[in-house]
Amino acid sequence: MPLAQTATTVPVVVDNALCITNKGCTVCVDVCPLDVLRIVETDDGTKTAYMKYDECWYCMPCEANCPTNAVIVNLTYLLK
Amino acid sequence: MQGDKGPVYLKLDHLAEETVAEIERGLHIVERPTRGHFHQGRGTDHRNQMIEMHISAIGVCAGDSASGIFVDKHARTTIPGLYATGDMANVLHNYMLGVFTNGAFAGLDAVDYIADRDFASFDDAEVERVRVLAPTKRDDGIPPNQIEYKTRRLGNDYLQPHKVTARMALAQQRLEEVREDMENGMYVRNDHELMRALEASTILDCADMAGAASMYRTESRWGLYHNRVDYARDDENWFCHTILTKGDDGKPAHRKQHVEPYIVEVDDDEKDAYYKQRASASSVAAE
Repeated sequence: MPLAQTATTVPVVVDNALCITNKGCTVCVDVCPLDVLRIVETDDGTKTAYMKYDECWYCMPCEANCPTNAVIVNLTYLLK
Repeated sequence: MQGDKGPVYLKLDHLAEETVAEIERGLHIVERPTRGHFHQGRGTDHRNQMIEMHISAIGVCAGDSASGIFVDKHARTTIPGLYATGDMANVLHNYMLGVFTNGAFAGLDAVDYIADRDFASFDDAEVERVRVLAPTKRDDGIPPNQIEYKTRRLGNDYLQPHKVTARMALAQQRLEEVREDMENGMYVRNDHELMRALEASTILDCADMAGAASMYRTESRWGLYHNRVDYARDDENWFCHTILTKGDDGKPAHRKQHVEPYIVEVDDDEKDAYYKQRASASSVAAE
């Protein structure tokens, strides 16, 4: 059966300018216990981490372990 | 809350700043790392007001439950060489220090266990592979998040306290239908969804076990969580372990087991402390 897309605000936000995935860093992807982060190629040809699956538990290791402080975990609207 | 008199609040606004700060340090760092973020986002502060508690947040300190896979003091399960630690074992739940300590005990014992031992053979590997990969072999079907959502909704709506026999029986019937849907129709598109499919399967197992175990326990006891409304409170018989195993028919089987004596002795006047911590209606009125 066909699957639909549901819009949702994303808690894990990565600053592409600070993200050093193009140097081989995958720390946030590796530490996420929910397996929700992935690496993607950006429009300008570099790479960045991003949140692919909307299953965040707000446990924070991605933010705490990012070597360049590029990752921020926001509590989204439904949790406010 | 039990008598529809809620909401329930956490009241710290009468305490000194250093006391509030110390409690918050525990709540926001040790217990739940995002709790401080949450209050910040909502604009609530324990210093200025009472904070509404959801039922899952009422335990100010963790360690409120001890159900889970039965383990001994070394974290050994009943299967030699298999250990269980943290919230999935029958140890105190919901706090990091507990799981780290528990894990350390398991690790130390496991190191001794594996000395001079080779890998065991695993006869059921092919059976398990077929079960796990089944959702990848279909072209269409139910996504794992919907199986999980339905399972959780049934648990939340029908298996929560107060425990009502007719409601729990309905849950068991509906969960059986979900299992049939899961085993015959769950569909995944990638490795992430396959992981979630396994998770959904485990969550359904847990819901089945919770329903069966709750039905087996007829002694009402210890406030809201174990109030089995069809049965009277039973202080004589409730104190035991109830052990759930997989029966010969594949369904949950049950038995009771006595509780080993406490390592630290509990004074007689502390044994019913739970019942004494509640303010009576008359004492509140007198204030």
